[in-house]
Amino acid sequence: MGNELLEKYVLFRHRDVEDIHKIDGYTANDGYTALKKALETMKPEDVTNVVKNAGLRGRGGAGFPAGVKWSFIPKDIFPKYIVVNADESEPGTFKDREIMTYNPHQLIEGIIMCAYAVGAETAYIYGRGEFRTLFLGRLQEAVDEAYAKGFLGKNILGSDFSMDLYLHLGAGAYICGEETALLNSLEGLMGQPRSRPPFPAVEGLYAKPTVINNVETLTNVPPIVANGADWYHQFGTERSPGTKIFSLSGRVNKPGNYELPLGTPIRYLIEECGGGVIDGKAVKGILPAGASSAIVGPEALDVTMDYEAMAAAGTMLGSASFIIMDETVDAVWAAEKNVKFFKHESCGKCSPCREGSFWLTSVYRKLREGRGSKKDVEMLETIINQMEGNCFCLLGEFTVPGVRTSLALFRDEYEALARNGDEMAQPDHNLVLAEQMLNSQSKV
Amino acid sequence: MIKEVVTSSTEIARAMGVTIKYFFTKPVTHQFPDEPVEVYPRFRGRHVLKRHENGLERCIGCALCAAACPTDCIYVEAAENTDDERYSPGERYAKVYTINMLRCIFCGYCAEACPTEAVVLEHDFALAEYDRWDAIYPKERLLEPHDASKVVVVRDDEVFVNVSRWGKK
Amino acid sequence: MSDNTVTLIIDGHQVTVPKGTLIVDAAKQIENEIPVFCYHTKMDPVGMCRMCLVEVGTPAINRETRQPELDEAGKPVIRFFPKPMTACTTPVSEGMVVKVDSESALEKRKGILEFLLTSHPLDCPVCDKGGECPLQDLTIRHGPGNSRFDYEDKQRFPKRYPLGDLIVLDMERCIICTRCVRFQEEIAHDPALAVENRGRRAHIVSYTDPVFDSHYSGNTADVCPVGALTTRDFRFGARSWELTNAPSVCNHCGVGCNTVLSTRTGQIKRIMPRQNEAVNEVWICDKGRFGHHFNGSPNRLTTPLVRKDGELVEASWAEALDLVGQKFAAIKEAGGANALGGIAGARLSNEDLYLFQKLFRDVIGAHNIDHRVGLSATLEDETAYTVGVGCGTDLSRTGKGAAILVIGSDLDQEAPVLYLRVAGAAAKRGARLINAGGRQTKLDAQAQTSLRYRYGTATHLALGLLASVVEQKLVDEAGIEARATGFAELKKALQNYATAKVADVTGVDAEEINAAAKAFAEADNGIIIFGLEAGNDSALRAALEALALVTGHAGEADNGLIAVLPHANSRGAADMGVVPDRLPGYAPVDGEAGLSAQEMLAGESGLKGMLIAGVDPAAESEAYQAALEGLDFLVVQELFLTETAKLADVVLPVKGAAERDGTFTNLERRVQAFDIGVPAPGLAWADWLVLVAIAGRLGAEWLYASADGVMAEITQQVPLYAGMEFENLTAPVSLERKTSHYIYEGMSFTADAREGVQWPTLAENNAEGGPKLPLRFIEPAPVAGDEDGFTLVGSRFLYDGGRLLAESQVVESRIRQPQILLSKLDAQRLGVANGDEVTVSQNGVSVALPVKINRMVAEGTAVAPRNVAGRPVEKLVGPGGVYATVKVEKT
Repeated sequence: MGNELLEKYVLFRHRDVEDIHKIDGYTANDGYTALKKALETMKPEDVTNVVKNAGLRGRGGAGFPAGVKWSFIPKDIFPKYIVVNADESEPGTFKDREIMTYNPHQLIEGIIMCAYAVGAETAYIYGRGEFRTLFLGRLQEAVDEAYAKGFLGKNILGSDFSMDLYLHLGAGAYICGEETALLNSLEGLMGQPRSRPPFPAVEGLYAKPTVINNVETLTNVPPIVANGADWYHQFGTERSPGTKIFSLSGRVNKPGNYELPLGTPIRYLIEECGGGVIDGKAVKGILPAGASSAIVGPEALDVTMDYEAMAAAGTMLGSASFIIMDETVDAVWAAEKNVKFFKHESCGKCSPCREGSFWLTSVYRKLREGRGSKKDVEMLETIINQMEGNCFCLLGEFTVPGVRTSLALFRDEYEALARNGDEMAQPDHNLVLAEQMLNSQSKV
Repeated sequence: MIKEVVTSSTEIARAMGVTIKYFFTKPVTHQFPDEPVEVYPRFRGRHVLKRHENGLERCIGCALCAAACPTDCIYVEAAENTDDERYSPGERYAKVYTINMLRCIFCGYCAEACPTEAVVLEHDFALAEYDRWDAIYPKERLLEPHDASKVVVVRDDEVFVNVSRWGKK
Repeated sequence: MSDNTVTLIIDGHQVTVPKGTLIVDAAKQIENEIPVFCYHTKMDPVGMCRMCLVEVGTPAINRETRQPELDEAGKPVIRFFPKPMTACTTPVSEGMVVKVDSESALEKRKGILEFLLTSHPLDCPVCDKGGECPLQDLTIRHGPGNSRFDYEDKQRFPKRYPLGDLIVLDMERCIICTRCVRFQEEIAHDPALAVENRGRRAHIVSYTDPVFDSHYSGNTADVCPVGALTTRDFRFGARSWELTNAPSVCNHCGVGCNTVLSTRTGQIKRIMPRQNEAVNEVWICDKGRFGHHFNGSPNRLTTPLVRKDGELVEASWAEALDLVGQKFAAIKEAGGANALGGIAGARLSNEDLYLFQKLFRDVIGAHNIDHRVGLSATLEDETAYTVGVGCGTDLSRTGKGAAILVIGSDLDQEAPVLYLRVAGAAAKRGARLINAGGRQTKLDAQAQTSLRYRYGTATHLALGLLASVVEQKLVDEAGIEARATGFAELKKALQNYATAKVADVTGVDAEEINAAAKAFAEADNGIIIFGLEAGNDSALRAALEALALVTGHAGEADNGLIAVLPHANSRGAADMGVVPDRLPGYAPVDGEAGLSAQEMLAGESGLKGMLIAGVDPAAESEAYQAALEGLDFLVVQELFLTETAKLADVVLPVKGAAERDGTFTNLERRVQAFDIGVPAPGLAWADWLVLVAIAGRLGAEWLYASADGVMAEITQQVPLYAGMEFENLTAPVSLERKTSHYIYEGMSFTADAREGVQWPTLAENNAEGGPKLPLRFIEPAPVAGDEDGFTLVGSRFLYDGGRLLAESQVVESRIRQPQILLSKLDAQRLGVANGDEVTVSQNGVSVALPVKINRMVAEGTAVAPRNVAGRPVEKLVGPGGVYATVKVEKT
């Protein structure tokens, strides 16, 4: 059925087809035909090239072209690994869960094709700890079905290609969405990022070449291979082709996942898909990529949702989890919530992130409790300046834009709180005395 | 000759005049130790190791006083407090704390270096001993709350600089 | 500019460094300090603390032409990275420009320091690290002047949290650089520490049993850049600026770690490692660090004691020495020189040992001297003289291309710092490590090949390896003929040691023997290390010597043999000729050899008088005690009133190593000088001075005034020690070597970096055209048939029952008590649990020992510590023996 902009869903095919999560339902609706096509008619390089030509960009947040990533994998080092990043922990992002729950086979098919393309024989889906029910239930069932039908395991579909797919649950840490921390966690180490270089494509899991892709990215692969790169280019913009799932949440009437072509304006997502802001209030701010993005004001409503336009608007598309704040939302409260999240999730490896987020939380608490002063607002700025660019990985860096844009857009709210604090603070007795004395002396 | 007699007589008379003049003024000499001596509030006399209000020693045995001392007259050996034997708040206390008063020049650097304001130079200056060894004050003597009122009276002067201006720009 | 160097510009200075150097190390060359917390030169960089952020730029490359872009002046355009880079993880590249002192870099540093200080307590006045703390130093140099963080919001952790018996953790001070965790993992290979939880709640934990179970835990306090980890021993002992530091050498084992004695008011407050890349790098083990309390012990002897009416009473030196002189002269008069004998401990310095043998040989006229009792009886080594490791051997650099063969040694227990270096060579630097032993040891985890032979077949294995090398034609026969004699005879003898046969005898897989032989023979450099469990077996030593010569791994640096000798100066005791059949420098004695220690202590030796210095045979066995009781006159030079001293007629108090100067020769033949650190208790004299005085009472006129005077004579009399005057031994290392040395970040003392001097072996002389070496073959002892029962191994443990260690209360809980380690299955079979007592018996001798279940022990094997109270194992395996087949029954 699709929606107005999309005749048929590309990723959310379960919304069109009822029993697609079962293997019979999936195969009955052209499931695994792309895989068959790839294994029978295409060389591994061809698969990579199709994906490269389709311009599929990583849906995890960074938007790095998937085909290019695959082509970095050295040919002569074995074994290689595919790791699927299902550690969907960005606040406001809930797209991968829907894919894995309702359309798991399309993901599995994508994984197999990716493995075929780079020559890997082992793949892992790393999910956050909270996906326990899903990983033990539906997703595992889907994997078992795929094994039973011969889509996984030895000599897939009678070809020479064999591969295994394992599901692995983390313990629920935001940092494990960072690819190198994810690898550490998968290896049984502490979920802390590794220093780069070496990049995972060269030395990833168990120091072997590893492709790490997001769930949504790989779910895009089967339709691309089935229909070709040109077909894919009909969606989206020149440099951001394809469709994308947008997770809409916050103060809107109909929050949820919406699959739209890239390049759709934000206004369409809020007004048409989300049914507008609750009670028809005005939009105050938009967090386009969960907690880690810069906040944009209502003037950005007509920005199109693709990687380039969002970057030009001073923010990023990221995992496309749009959180909408309306005028009823307290901006400082929201920023504090963000910072608290980062403080809680900081892995503790590098000092700017560990101490910076801790300190920011303490200053925010002070402000919100009405004990803050103007100095504290300025201090927020210096703290994020001291963090920016100095952190080990992006988790620490992501703390900065939210606070920075919040300070820039809603400075008046901060200052109102700070004024409270200034009034409440007792004047320094000694300072007053000293001033009096200086005054009396100058009179003489 | 007569001139000499006259000049010497007048000189003697003038000298006697001075003597007689002072004869009627109040004497400068203090009848120490029968009478106490007056000192200024910031007079630096013998050291005292202070205690907290709850009776614990302020001294944490950090030996910064010994490090600051220009004459090396302070010797500190630290040890660790246990729950059963607690001398100071925190982990560390001074097991040995001695000051050689014969070496001390009462410069007050030790008090300045002290992070807990434990060692303070108070007003007692009567430090004569019969035995030179007694001039080496162990911790027990330094900790004593000493009563110097018999020998010292602290002048009740105005503080010259208002406290509020210390350290302020 | 060669291919292996890179030239870059740091703060305007041009620097040329080897490829792969990290920026942080390159900056040291121009002394532009890049501050670090988490980076340590001995560990892999992690880039966690972000303190070393610098601006880095590289020459811009034109995309089309692939050529460096040039500006108008013709200079390459430098493109700076948008973000600052961590100098500790970024290797240098050609043409790189680094800004360490730029405004923005300084600003970053200030910011990071402010972050680190937000949760750091203001403990400096009570902190042991205060005064030598990198955080303190860097805060003063780079940090903000004031604090903006709210005191109430500081994260609180419990203070004084014990991490085991030796280390105390103060988590509030920790800045989570994980140097301690990484030291334990990467260098000590005891992953006893870990970080738990995340973010600001992250903290250091240890879950081993006992807590923080490692022989190297003290080093974590050294590497800690703040005062988070402190040692229980030094805690609040003194402020760092109050300490006086004397360079010394550890006297607990043969490795000869360089140490610094930090003293105050005549007491040792702590012992720190002193850097010597050739010996201990920057580490020492916990025994060396915490086992110093014997120096200031109240149990030390302070005056000479003389036996009067059956009681030892205090006497003056003159009285005691006169008595010794009279009695020795009388005994010599009555029974001849051979009625006198002497045993000297291998803990004495070279000077003492030289004079000891000189006293007996020149003044008394007897060769009845020895040092081989107690642990020294388990391993002797003459191979060092012929094919010992070459001069300039540096295990801290041994890596790719080198092979290390360890035979019969639990290095982690016998020579801990040697373990660190061997394990590091294998695990970190890629050397091929072959660990051959009768049981599993910690080194197996780092070894690529583990050869597990049956006890008693080590020699067969060595000959098997040698035969396999010859069989696989991995030898340069012409080269061997040029250097050694007897190759043809050796080859003939080796025909009986075909791999298959050896495999059968030893129980090692034939293919593994061949592979190990191949790996060792083909390596560029080869080092053979053998220890206590190899047994005191001259056949094995001959086989290993031949293996080194045949494979060409002899006579040059990083090649040769190392015997893991038990004591600080075991090597020196042999060098100085404190053996009945060798003069100093390994020359054979003229005429008949004297009595060995075993013979002297056998009871019917014919000895009337003895001089025993620094060794306690009476504690070893009752037979020795009886033999000593049977003497007419016994003189003992000792630190403590030991079992032997209690039997003496005259006891002479001597100085410990920290109280005097002297030299030790370590197991790599490195002669190292140590200085005086603390005053001696009471009237104690240095051993050499006591010997001078005794010689004087016997009519000799010795004019030695100091230890270096004795050494001056040694350099004249013993050709091996030529050039080893104190002046040379204590000379600081050359400036050139010093630059490559690691600096003690923050430490209040500057290490007096001496490296010591090694003496050259025969193989090295031979490589330079000296005489050929004989290839020896000694038929190994026949292998005993399979007997029922357990193989009991008397092995050495680090914390044993030695007299010196007993004085250190801080390690008391770790000292081994008599016990028997059994595998879990064996314990179940015997129906015993931890702590139950079993009777261990052999040939009518039986001892009762409590059981401890240990997962490292294999089935059918029982391991028991030697040199512990009562010496139970020695009763079963013999004083110099290693293993025996015993019956174990539940008591």
